[in-house]
Order: sequence, then C-alpha cells, then structure tokens
Amino acid sequence: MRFALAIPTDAESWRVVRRAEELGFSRAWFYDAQMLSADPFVAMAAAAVKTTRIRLGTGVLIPSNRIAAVAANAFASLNKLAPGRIDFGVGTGFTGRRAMGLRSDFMWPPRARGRAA
Amino acid sequence: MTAKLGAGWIATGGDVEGAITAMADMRERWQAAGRGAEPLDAVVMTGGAILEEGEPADSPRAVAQAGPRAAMLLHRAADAALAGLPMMAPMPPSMADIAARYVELARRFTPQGAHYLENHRGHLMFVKPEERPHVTAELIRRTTFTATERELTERVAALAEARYSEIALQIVPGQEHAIEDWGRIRRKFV
Repeated sequence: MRFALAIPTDAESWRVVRRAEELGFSRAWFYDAQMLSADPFVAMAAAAVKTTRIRLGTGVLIPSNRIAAVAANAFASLNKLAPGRIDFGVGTGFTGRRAMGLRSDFMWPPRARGRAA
Repeated sequence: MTAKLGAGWIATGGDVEGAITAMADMRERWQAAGRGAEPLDAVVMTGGAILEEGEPADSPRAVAQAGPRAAMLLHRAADAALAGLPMMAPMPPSMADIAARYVELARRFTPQGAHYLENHRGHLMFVKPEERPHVTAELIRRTTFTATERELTERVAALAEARYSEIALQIVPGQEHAIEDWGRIRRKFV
C-alpha cells in the first residue's frame, strides 16, 4: 500500500511535500481550484526542484477551465524538471467549478448541453 | 472512462465500506472493458485525523485536521438545495438533519444569488466559524478517516485488501505537522 498526500495547493506546498518525501510517501497530489487555492503547476514546479523521488500529480485538473495544449505544455515542462515523476490527474472539476458558481460538464443534461453549445 | 482508457483511478471517500463498494463497481467496469487481466492502479483520496486514546472526534485538533473534509457533505447539500446540483453520493440518513440545518444557514449567505461564494469559502482548508456547530463528531466520524491509530491502521489494511494501491491523505493548511502522524501509520505498511 502506497501512501500519498493531497494538498490544497499553496505556492509553498513544496515544504510539506519535501517532508513527506523524507517520511517515505510516494506521491503528492495538488488540488486545482482557481477560486480556492494556488496554481498547481507553479507549486508542482517548486516541488519538482526541491525533491528527488516523490511523484507529483494534479489532483485533479479541471479540464473545462484549461486549454488542452496549454496544460500539456505545462506537464511537459514539469517533466523536464522531474523526469518520470509527474502524473496527470484529471476530473470533472466538481469543487473548483462549483466554487465559481459553474457546473461541471458531466452534470449538464444533454439537452441543456446542446443549448449551451 | 477510466476503464475504457485503461487509466489509473482516483476515488474519493471517507469510509471503508463506501470505498469497497466503489471498488466493486470499478472492477465490474474494468472487466466489462476487457481489462480483467490488467492491473488497476487505484487511489483513494481521503483525509482525517489520528486521535489519541479517548480524544473526541470533534476535539479542536480533530476539527482543524478533519473538519474541512467533513464539511464537504454540507457544502454539497447546499449546492443541491440552492443550485439544483446533484449530491454525487447519497446523503447518509443520519446526517440528513444536520445537513438540512446547514442548508438553512446557507440560504442566508450573501451576496444573495451567489451563495456558492460563501458556501465554498475555506472548502477543504478550514471550517468557517458559522459552520462549526454543524461539523459534529458524528459527521467527522462518518465522513473522514478520523479514529485512533490502531483503528486507522485496520481501515488502511481493509483498503489494501480491497485492492486499492494507494491512500492519499489530505493535509490541511496550518496542520502540516499531521504528516508526521500519518507517517507512523505508513511505516506499518512497508
């Protein structure tokens, strides 16, 4: 059984991530919630250069708030800082979008989604 | 979609029974997608607090560490009542009354028409003073991994038995020292 930590992302999350690495934790997941916490790519970049072993993942990225190519570029950049240690966690954006008064895409009834499109 | 893509899976949950049920459902979908022989990398994302013997689940320390995750149920109940959004998971009957009382509180959140701003303030990070009376010991016990070290070790072992490969534990801002407590439990699974 692997142990990981999940973090309401802060620019200085690297501090607790580095301690988790020392304690033998396998991975750190960074929340993506624009109204609630810091940007995960910024925090993961700091953690990438401050750690050597622990895996770093988005936990979880909100696809509807991100342009796919821009997000892919960010992951590729992170992977250069921490080769093979970056994980792409993705979800519906449940909390992050609700905190902005928005729905997650999967919640839209098909008819409503059609109207929105 | 996880099964279709053969991806890893992150489940969220606060109790072992729910996590085991979710795993059974995912295994069924994994099989249906023709991936029965392939390993499933399954993560359960949760949080809580490790209690001292005799420490109540709503001690100040437990509320600080586990309260924000317990309050998720309240926030979702308000989203459902005030914005018509689905609950995502059934409301435990024993929690229905306390959730209903929180919804009544949330109806007064300002600005009116944008309840979501105050509803989600501090979400997963801290317990708002006005929601503190609703974050009870029972809510924390039922929706988070908050128990003694011995009991939590048993719960993690049950997750491993259910073929979860990772447990991800939320660390609340200002409670980073909790990582030391969870580190003790981790060492039992090396």
